[in-house]
Amino acid sequence: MPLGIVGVAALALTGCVGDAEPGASEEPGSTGAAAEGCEDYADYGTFDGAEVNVYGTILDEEANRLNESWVQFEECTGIDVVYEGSAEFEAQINVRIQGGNPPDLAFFPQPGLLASVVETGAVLPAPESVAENAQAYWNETFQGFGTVDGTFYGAPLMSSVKGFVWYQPALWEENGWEVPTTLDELDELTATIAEAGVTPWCVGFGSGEATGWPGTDWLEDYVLRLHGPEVYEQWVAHEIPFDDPRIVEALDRVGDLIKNPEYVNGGIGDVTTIATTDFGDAGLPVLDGECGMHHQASFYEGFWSDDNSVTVAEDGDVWAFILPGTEPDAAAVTGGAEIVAAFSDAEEVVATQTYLSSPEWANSRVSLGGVLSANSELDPANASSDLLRQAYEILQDPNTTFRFDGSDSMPGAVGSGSLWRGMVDWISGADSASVLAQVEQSWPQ
Amino acid sequence: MTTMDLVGKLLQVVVGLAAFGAVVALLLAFLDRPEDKPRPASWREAMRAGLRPRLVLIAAFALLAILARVLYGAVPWMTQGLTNAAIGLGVAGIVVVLLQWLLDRLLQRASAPVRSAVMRALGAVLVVALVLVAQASPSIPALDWVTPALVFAATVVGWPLAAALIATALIAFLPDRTRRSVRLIAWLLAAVAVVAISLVLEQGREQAVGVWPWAAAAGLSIIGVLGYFADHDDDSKPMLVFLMPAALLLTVGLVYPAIRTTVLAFTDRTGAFNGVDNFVWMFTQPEALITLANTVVWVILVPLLSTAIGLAYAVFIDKSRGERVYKMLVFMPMAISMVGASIIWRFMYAYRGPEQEQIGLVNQIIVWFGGQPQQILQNSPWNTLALIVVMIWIQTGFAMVVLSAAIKGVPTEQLEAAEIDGANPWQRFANVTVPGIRTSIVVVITTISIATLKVFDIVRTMTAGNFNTSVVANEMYTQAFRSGEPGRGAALALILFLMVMPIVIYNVRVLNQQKAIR
Amino acid sequence: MSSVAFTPDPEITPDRVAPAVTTRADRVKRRLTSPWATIAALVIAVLWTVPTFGLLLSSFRPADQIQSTGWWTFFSDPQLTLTNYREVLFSGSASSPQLGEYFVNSLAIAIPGTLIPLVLACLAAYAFAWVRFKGSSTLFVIVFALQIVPLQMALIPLLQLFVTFLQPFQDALHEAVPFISERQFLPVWIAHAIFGLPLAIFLLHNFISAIPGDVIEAARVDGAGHGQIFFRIILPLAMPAIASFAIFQFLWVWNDLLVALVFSTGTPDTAPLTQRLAELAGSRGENWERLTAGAFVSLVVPLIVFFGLQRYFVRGLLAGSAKG
Repeated sequence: MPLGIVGVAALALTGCVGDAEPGASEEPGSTGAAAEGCEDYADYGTFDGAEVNVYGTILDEEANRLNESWVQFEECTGIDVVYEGSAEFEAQINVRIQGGNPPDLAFFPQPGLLASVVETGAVLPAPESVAENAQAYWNETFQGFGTVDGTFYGAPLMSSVKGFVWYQPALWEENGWEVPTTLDELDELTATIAEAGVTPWCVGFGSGEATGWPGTDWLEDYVLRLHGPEVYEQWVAHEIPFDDPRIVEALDRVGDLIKNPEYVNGGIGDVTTIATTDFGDAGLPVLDGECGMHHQASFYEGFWSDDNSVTVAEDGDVWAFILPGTEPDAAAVTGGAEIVAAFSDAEEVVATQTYLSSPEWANSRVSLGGVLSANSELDPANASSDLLRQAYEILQDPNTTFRFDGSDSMPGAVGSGSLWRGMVDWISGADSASVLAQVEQSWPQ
Repeated sequence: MTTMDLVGKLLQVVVGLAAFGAVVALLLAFLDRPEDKPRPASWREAMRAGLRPRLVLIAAFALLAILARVLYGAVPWMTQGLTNAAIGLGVAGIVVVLLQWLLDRLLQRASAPVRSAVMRALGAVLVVALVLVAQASPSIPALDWVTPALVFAATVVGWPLAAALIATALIAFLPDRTRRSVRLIAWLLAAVAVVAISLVLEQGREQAVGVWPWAAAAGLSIIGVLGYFADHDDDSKPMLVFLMPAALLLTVGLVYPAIRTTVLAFTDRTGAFNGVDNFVWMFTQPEALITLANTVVWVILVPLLSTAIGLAYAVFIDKSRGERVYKMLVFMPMAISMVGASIIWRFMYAYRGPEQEQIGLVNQIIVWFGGQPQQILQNSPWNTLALIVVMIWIQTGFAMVVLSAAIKGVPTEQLEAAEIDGANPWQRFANVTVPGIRTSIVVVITTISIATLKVFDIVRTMTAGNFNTSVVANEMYTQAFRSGEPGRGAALALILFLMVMPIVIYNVRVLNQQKAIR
Repeated sequence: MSSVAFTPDPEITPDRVAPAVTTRADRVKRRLTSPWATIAALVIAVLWTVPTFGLLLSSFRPADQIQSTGWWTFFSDPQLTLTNYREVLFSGSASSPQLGEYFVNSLAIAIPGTLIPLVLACLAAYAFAWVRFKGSSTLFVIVFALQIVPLQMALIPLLQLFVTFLQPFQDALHEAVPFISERQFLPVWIAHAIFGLPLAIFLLHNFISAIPGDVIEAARVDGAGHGQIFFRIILPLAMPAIASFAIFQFLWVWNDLLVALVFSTGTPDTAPLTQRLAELAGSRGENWERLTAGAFVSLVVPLIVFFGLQRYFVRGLLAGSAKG
């Protein structure tokens, strides 16, 4: 009866809907390869009306610059790169993959997350052209970040260096404080600053639902510097227990500084304020001279002021040095990078992924300011600040031991779960050994 | 934003709502249809009876097609595809109307099951024909506008639809006296048949039929189950119509996920069965008991306090001057998202050292009264209360709006009678108003309890579950999404479900009491 | 007593507030309000408003001041700026256009996202309340219990279903009408409808089932079918309940972020205001000044809806009483 008729009508409806006009949805801006300045992009080919969906954690101003960085690529190839950023990336990427709706490309900020996503089988190995670029322009350490179980999945996008210690040069000069060259000197300097009546450190672990991560940076920096890259890697890969005595020692060293009521929390309050102070606000007392030092990654450069009224320079309002090692000139740093992984092997996706691994893109993005890439063909002159140039030198220095941020490489249950909470418990009074033992227990079997 | 984008969005809303309205109207058209319309005596009479509505329909379809052809080329947004669609729809509509008219007449002397069976069988043939044409379209020049997406759509809908039509055509032959259980079995068998037929068809074909047959089977099963509940008397048949859309959506969107969650709760990260490991983990992790205890505290305090305050407020402002503004003020937190509310309150609770200027109002007030500023969000167990305050702040508006409406329904005569009996205002409230709005109070408490059990944004935004403030829902989100442990998350979801059971049971009892009284 | 207890709500006894009894009601009312009650109401109103007021004031203060001093210092040192709002409203770019587009999206999501579950829930609630069939209670309890299925656990299966079942049709629609983007609102509407249904059915059932049986019986005796009863009796009488549920459902949809994150595409084609504001707030929520201003921008529409429908409560009541 009517059911059948309705069905026929519905089908008749869909059966007649069609659009045979190729390129009807073509963007007015895509003029094809004939446009000027497109010689560099000829190898990528041209794609009329093709679209590549990109998903990542980068938001707001940074996302705008990202979009700006590939404008010419879009114009020359006709590919429309649609970037979507989300603060919920870590959770949503899993939802989308399991829901059968993955993006074409995703920027993974954590190798640990990439590894767990690779387990689902949704990520495609990097195409030949990307692998070639990675070998040509990135050192082995960085290539390793995009490699899971021996398969290479993607090249890094941007890179950052962690473990900077920020200070106010004028205040230091006035008091005759010197940049320390070893961790022991740092301890001494801390005591000196405290004696001078300035609280040496200001720290903030607060970061909404990610509260605790600045603490993991402290721990990682100390593990790497005190015990070297081998122990660090074993620890991250869980080849030694999470609460190995060496790790406990590192955390205790951190505790000597930032759990000491005499040394914290400059310009904010006492030790208990660390857990709730937002990391973004934590360093600001440095500007007022109420706090001697603030430990945070290179990206903190952008946090000092909204309107660039604070100059970041060796002789400016603030400057930073890399947290030293046990020996002078020991060059071991932690840092991060986004890995560009693909969920589709369509030609336009491959072209985009290849472009993003090229020096052209790295220079295009870095010259827009604020970030850095570890691409070896990057022109340091493009970097927007002295600090980034300093960081780039560290990255390119063959003597530098660079290790990825450990918690980002661990399984999510630890790296963005129990370890964060453990750091909060620790700064709220729990002792190092028991906190690390608890994290050890939470490591997924 | 270009105008075209805006038009596209507007069109989506208009078309979407119109389609939804049409579906609902179609469903309702099944209601109030006189079951035993006197059969027209003669062929001619029958033709005349259905003439006018059909002519109107044919004219409308023709107009659509002609309009499309005229507009094509005249206005930029009338694309070739759109024109094709409109003309196709018009022509198909006319054909269908004519066909149905003809069949109706041809079969008018046949019995009802035969008629419906023939109609459905014919529908199935048409569907199959259309699918075949669509699949053959790449080799037919006249059909070059049929894109692969269309062929796909036609295929995936067509096969199961045809199968379902044939299956239901057969069911129509079941005699009226057939027992309900037999009917149910027949529907379920039809569902199985659809899947089976599709799987057979899938053999030797390049394009997988995918999950469509399963969907058709699920639809048939729902109809069967609803039909099972419907009695044979005329009164309950409309139930099918009224419940069908909701039942369909709920099955797909909630029942299926609930079953999936239950299964997931017994699996590990890789999806392998791991017995009760997740539950063991849940009760052995150090903070498990605190999390559970917190959840219990939440679910007791939030519904009671927000309902009590909402009720008191509703009574106080009832019929007072400026009642609307009063309502607005307490309702406002409802209009702020949970995350927004959490941000506001993080601001309220903000802490600065004693020697500094406070920026959080609560600590500032403590300081004004000579106290020491407190780390409100860190000092367990008071921090849980601080979070609960946020939820109460939000939910009071809900309680107030619903209860205020209820209070206005309490008969004035009863209040007056109580007054004459010498009852004071409190007695009048306790003995007349409260019993009068009891049902509403139960509804409000139930709703807020369930909302409280599910809340996770407040905890996540304000403390991220640190400092012993976590609740089950927050742990669930963390495990399932951030830690990549869906099994553990599902196990926690099951615990939530158990916790809500008492509320469900209580409501069932109230429901039964009500039924008994009616 | 029992008849009092179970024929409670205003909707069902609308004649009580009909003009005829106003004078009596006024007399009772006078006796019920005491100065203490007024004071208590004022205290609650102030307590409930202060946090929001603080937010409002903060949204007009310069960014650095928000971080360093309490908003009440405004009264001793008044400094206001519109920068925060300018930043939130007009900081458009190629990738993320101005807020206006997201505003349109929010409306395009919230209106059908409210109407669809509302209509379906009315139909279902009527069936549960006034159509007698075996297993009615069992089915109702199941629907009621579905409320607790956590949204989060339903996201992935539902997304899978949408990608398989809806995507082909969305693509086909886009091909036929190119200026309808292939990223459409349909999945978001359906998701909101599904998640709103159990509570909607539960709430509306409570109101609809409380409508006096004799009214419906009388209609049935007059020969009215279910459709007529539904449209002529149930809908007008339950209008206040429907209006209040409409408000709540609208608020939930308007303020939702989770469903939008999964089912909208995150691009300006479909992403609602909440998603954009979350983005503006920065990945680690450091932009206080934008959060405060953004929260107020998104607050405006729900408040308008509340004001608009609040009047409707009263109209629904009167409409019912005129007939009763």
